[in-house]
Amino acid sequence: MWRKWNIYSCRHAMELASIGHERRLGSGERLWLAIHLAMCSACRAGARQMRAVDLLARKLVQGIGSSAGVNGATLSPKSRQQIADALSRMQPGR
Amino acid sequence: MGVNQPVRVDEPNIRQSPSAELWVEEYGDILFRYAKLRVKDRSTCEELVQETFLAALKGKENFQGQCEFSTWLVGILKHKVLDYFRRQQRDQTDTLPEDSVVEAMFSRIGKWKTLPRRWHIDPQDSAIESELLSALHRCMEALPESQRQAFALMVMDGQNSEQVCKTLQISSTNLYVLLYRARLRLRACLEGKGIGGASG
Repeated sequence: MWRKWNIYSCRHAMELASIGHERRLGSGERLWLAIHLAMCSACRAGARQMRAVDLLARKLVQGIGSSAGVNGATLSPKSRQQIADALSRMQPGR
Repeated sequence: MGVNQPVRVDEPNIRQSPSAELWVEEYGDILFRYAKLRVKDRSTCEELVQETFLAALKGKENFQGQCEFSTWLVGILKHKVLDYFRRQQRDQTDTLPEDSVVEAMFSRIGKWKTLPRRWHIDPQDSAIESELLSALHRCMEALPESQRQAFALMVMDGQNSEQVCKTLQISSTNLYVLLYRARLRLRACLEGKGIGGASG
């Protein structure tokens, strides 16, 4: 536990920076993180990168209609045929 | 939902006389990509897509045309993916196993072993963005299943933590740990692929 609250712990800084994406940090947590980030440029970069990762992930979802970023993610011809066959079997009058 | 692409197929025609071949042709890849961002295994993704189409055919009268047909299909698939997540057995609810990849990023006293670099990315540059998104997708595929599921539901789907904890049957503390690990792995993976440019 002492390691966690050690003000020099970059690991704990990254934990808090990540948790801050999901919920509002408590005042003690915010103060701890602010002090650490003020003196650690690597964690400032790391925290920015984690925010960038979230932003990019949302863009990735928005791009599924146009395949942006999801290269090669298409149904195989075999699977396509299997699904079409399954649908045909379910349709009345066929 | 994330899918707002206009569809070329005339929606009322689909509702009146569904054509299986047309559905798969028009929407198969969109559904597959949605699944692939959340589930690593390709054949599982294909099964989920098939289940989605079959469920859509069975319940096509429920499509009232208030949204794009593709959006309706993705909505069905979303529930299929959640059911798949729920079916997966989780044998721990209190203690997550250590993530050796993340642990290896820090020294015993919690300092970075390799300092993160300052990324030089111009979000306006669509070419770079496309490259970034491709790299991110590859990095996501390398995430452990539990981290990818947590990240997909919280960050990509924008669900709240209560819903996600219920679906994945984990505590909020463990959810935060999974997300922290996922983000650290993803940033390290992107950096390892040369994303971000020169060090700063």
